[in-house]
Formats: sequence, structure tokens, C-alpha cells
Amino acid sequence: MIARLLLANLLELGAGIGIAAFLRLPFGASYLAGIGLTGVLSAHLALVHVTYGWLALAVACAVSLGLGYRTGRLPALQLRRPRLGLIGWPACVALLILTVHAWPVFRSKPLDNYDAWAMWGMKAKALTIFGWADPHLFAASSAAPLHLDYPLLVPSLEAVTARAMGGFNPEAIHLQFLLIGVAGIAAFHGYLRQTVSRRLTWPWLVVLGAAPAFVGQLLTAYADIPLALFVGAAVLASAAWIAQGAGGLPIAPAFFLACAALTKNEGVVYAAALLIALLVATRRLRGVVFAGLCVEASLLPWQIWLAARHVHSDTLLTVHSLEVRHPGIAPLALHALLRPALSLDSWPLILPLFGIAVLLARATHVAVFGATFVVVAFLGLDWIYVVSPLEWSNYLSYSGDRVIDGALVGAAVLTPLLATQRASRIGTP
Amino acid sequence: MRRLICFVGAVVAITIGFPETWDELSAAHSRLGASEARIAPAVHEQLDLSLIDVWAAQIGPHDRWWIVVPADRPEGLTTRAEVYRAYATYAFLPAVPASSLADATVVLRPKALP
Repeated sequence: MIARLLLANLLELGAGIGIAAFLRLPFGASYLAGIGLTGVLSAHLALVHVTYGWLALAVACAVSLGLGYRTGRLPALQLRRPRLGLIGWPACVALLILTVHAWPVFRSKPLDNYDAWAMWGMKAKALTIFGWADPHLFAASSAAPLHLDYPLLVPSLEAVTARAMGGFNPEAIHLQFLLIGVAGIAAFHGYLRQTVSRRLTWPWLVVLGAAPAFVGQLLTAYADIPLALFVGAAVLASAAWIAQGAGGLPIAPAFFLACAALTKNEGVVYAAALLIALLVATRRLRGVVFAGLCVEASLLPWQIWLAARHVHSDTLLTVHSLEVRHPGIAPLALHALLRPALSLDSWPLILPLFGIAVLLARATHVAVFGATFVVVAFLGLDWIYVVSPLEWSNYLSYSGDRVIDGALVGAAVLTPLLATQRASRIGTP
Repeated sequence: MRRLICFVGAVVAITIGFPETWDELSAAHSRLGASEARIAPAVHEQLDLSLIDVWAAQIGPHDRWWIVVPADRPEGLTTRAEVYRAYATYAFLPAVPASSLADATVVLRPKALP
């Protein structure tokens, strides 16, 4: 069963290597890109009664590698002794030991966190059994309290894994989340190693990978950390685009933002925050509009399906999101969101160190981008509670410590980047 | 200077976070058997397992079920009946919830939802 799970992930990695070459992503981002590609394809194909199993995994891998091969940018296979340096080696070993320690925990974890089984797991199990998003369940008004309007990337990924394993296993499915975590850390390494020294890259990968909130929430099998990883990759891809002069179109940020938007409704908030930050930092409207259109295009099949099936949404960003239901709670909600963000037990020192890094690098495009992204993301998340029809204090206590993940992961991956001297000075890019 | 602050900050953050994460992972190691793991969500939500067993015996894989809810009470962001419905939706697949009482092939009428 585990071997089949790993084989499916190997095919996703293969698809990712091809798509990374095609989209000019760093090689390290291949695995996360492959997971994102699998999630997007399987989620959309589930709407039209196409089951994403071994055949689809193999075809996606072959087609993607073929595309990558045609670009001539596929990495050459050569075994080299990794050069990690005095800091890199212990940091890399620490991450490996933590992963080995986590493996049996994720392998045996029962699916008992409410949203994990009631929402994500239920949809994943149904997709595994039915082979598609059967509207008898996915558009059933009687199942509406289970957030049928949330997009299907995560349950589709779980279903792909479950099919590979031979059925939905509520314990082993957690391993897919651990592998998503590994893919995310690898993607961050792929981006950071381009501009940041090993002495800073590796410690910050450990800071993130060993943060109690990161591992603890990954273990719940909720979609918040997968969303945060896509957001983090989009943030780094955006920083790379800015550092290269913001020429051409921001294809890599658009790809990861599209994955984020299809992961969870809050992904749209993060996409908006990141696009605003890109616009503020670069003034490149054409690129920002392009990325926004890519995000919308990735969401469109799901939005059409929801409209055609009359599935009600109380969380999607619609005109209802301008209707203030809890006037005056914004400062309280923001305070409640910042508390876990600053907690040493959740994301130790990440936000304060990001703040210091922004101040020290304030005259750079990346600092303007990073600061704007984090501030707008927190304000956007705050707005969710102001306009939500749900009782706001309960809603905050159940979700406030999770919705902030994307902002924290984004801040964490930007901090070592801001600390380097290669960040571009403010001026016309 | 920027890099030194960033490096020292990272070391301090790792010193705080790594041991806590390690301990939390150690504490989260589950040793449940397969059957215990299967009902873990119901146990976690303190649902009536005997009631769920009775329902499971009545529902076939192609049924559309409907729960006639007795007195309900709020629970977090939802209600007690919705928690039972959510569990039934998850656990009784491929049977699905009916769109209405009239559409149901199996009607479940619990006297109470503890």
C-alpha cells in the first residue's frame, strides 16, 4: 500500500519535473508543481466524470516530461556530492530526522479532526468510491453544511492517493500530507538556493519545517498547510520575478496562485494580497492582470459547476463579501489573528524576524512586496470575519489559528531573501 | 549585519520550535487498531456508537438516507444533529443523504441524539 502511494508520488514528481522545465521553475519546485498539477487536473476532471487513476498519472507524467524535453530545459541526470557546508549539513540532517520521526506518526494517525473527516476526507472518500464529483452528493442540499462550495484540489489529491493505495485508508492518507510538506520545503529550497547562501537557506528551512504549527496542522489533514505551501511558492516565485526586473509575465507566481485558489477559498484572499503586493512593488499592471486572469481561469470550471448545480456559497468572494455583518469587530479579529501568528508555541519568532528583515531591507522591491503582501493578507483575512454570516467569535476560535498559515509561510520564506544583499534597490525595474 | 541577525534569529527559532514539534509528534503517535481507527471520528465527537451501528445495519450501499432529527442543540459552529449527519455522510458512503424525506429510501428516526 505504501509502495503504491510512493509510486503515485513518483509519477507526480515526474509530471512536476516536466512542468517545472516548461514553466522555468527551479528544479527543487518540481515535486510541489507536480502535486499542484495533479490536484488541478484531477479536481477539474472529477467534474466531468473522468477518474484520475494510474493511467492519468502516467499520461500526465509522460506528456509533461515530453513538454519539458521539447524545451531542452530538463535537468541532466548526474550524481554529485551535495555541497551543503558546515551549516547546511546539520540542518539537512535535522529535517531528515524530523521526517523519519514523523513518518510513523502520520502513518498511524486516525482521521479524527472534524474538518479532516467531515469535509475534506468525506469528499476524498466519495471521489475515491464514485470516481467523480457525483452531484447526488456534491450538490446535495442536505450535505450543504459540509462546505460543498470549497474547491476540490485537496480531496482530489487524496482520492488520487487513495486509488493508488487500493482504497481510502483514513490513517495512511496522512502520509500524503507529510509528502506535500516535504514537497513544499523542497520548493522553497529550490527558490532560495538561487539567491540566498546555504548558511541562511538551510536554517530557515528548518525554522519553517520544525515550526510546531506547521507540523501540527499538517498532521490534522486540513487544507491550510497545503494552501500555505502553494502561497509560499507563489511568494518566492514573485520575489524572483521582481528580482529579475519584472519583465515578461509572472508565469510561475500565476501557476502557484492558481493551485492555491483551488485549494481553499482563502486562497483567493492570498491571491488578491499577492497581486496587490506585486502591483505596489513593480507597477507592472499587465503582469498582475495576467496572473489574476490565470487564477480566475483555474477557478472557472469549478465556479461554473457550482452555478449550474445551484450550490450555495457563504464563503466565496462574491458581492456578499461587501456586506458588513459584524461592524466594529475588525480590530478584535485582527488581534485574534495576530495572537497565534506571534505565539512562540506556533510560529516561533517568524513574524518578528520578518518585520526586522523588512525594516533592514526597506529600500528594496522585495521588502515592499513582502510587507505589502503580509499586511494586505492579514487585512483580507480579517475581512472574512467581518462579513461572515457565522457567529464571529466561534468562527475565529475554530479557524483563526489556521487561516494565517499562508501569511506566516510567506513571511518565513521571504526573511532569508530579505537578509541577502542581492535584493534589488527601489527604482524602475 | 542583516544576515547575522537573520541567522541568529533562525537558530533561536529552531531552538524553541524543534523540541516542541518533536515532543508533539511523539505524543501524537497513535496505536489504534484498524477497527478503532475507523470509528475514531465518532469517538472524538462523542457520538452514540450503538445508534450508529443500528443505522449502519439499515443502510445499504445504494440507499439514500434521511435522519428525522429530534430536539437539536447548538455545537460550536454547527448543531448536534449536523455532527451526526456529517458522520453519517462520511461513514455510510457510498450511500448518500437524500435530498428530502420523500426522496429517502431509508428513514432514520432516533429518539434522541446524545
